[in-house]
Amino acid sequence: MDKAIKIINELKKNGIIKEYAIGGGIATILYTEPLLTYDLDIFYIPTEEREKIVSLSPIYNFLAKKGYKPNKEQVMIEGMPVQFLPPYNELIREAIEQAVTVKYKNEPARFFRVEYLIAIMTQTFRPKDRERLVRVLAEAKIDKKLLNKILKKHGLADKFQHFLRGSHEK
Amino acid sequence: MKNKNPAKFNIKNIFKAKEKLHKKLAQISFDKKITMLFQLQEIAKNLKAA
Repeated sequence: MDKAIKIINELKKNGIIKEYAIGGGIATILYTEPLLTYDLDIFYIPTEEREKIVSLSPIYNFLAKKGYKPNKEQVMIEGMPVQFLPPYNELIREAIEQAVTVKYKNEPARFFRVEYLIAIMTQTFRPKDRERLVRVLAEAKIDKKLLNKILKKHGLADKFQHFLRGSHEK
Repeated sequence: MKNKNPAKFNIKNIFKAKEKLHKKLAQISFDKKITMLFQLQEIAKNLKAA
């Protein structure tokens, strides 16, 4: 995974992307005990954002030159399936901007803060998100003030409270 | 009797357990967790193949 992160850092250094942060299962592992996940979700801010439709071509062209070819929605980089996701709403964009840097095998990588992960999981709310939410809330150290601020700002406070009430009743 | 209010005692225990877990998790580096993830993936792969 360190080699994949190195390539992603190169994307930023070469101006192919403006900024990035790791989300999904791998980011969750930063705050919890390991959970089974397979792909590396890279949320990124494109360098050029003139059009409404974001093209993955600059990323794919850069990777193709290095011998990494896309397969469906993923690109296999040094044995790691990587998915590139542009910010599809303001919460994701903010999460990328506010990410924290953590080293993996001496390679710096940017990760979503746990408070943003919780907000994103509350927003997407798929069965696997709800499952991970329970784990994160039980295992991670959370800045509650920051979490409340994010949830309120993005209109997720009620949904989160409803989820908390539901998970406590079970 | 030591614990007059069992509910209060239980909440105290939960907070203590959570703190203990935070300390335990803080001791496991991210590198180590990813190594554990790869082991998990291998186990899942073998289980599927079985």
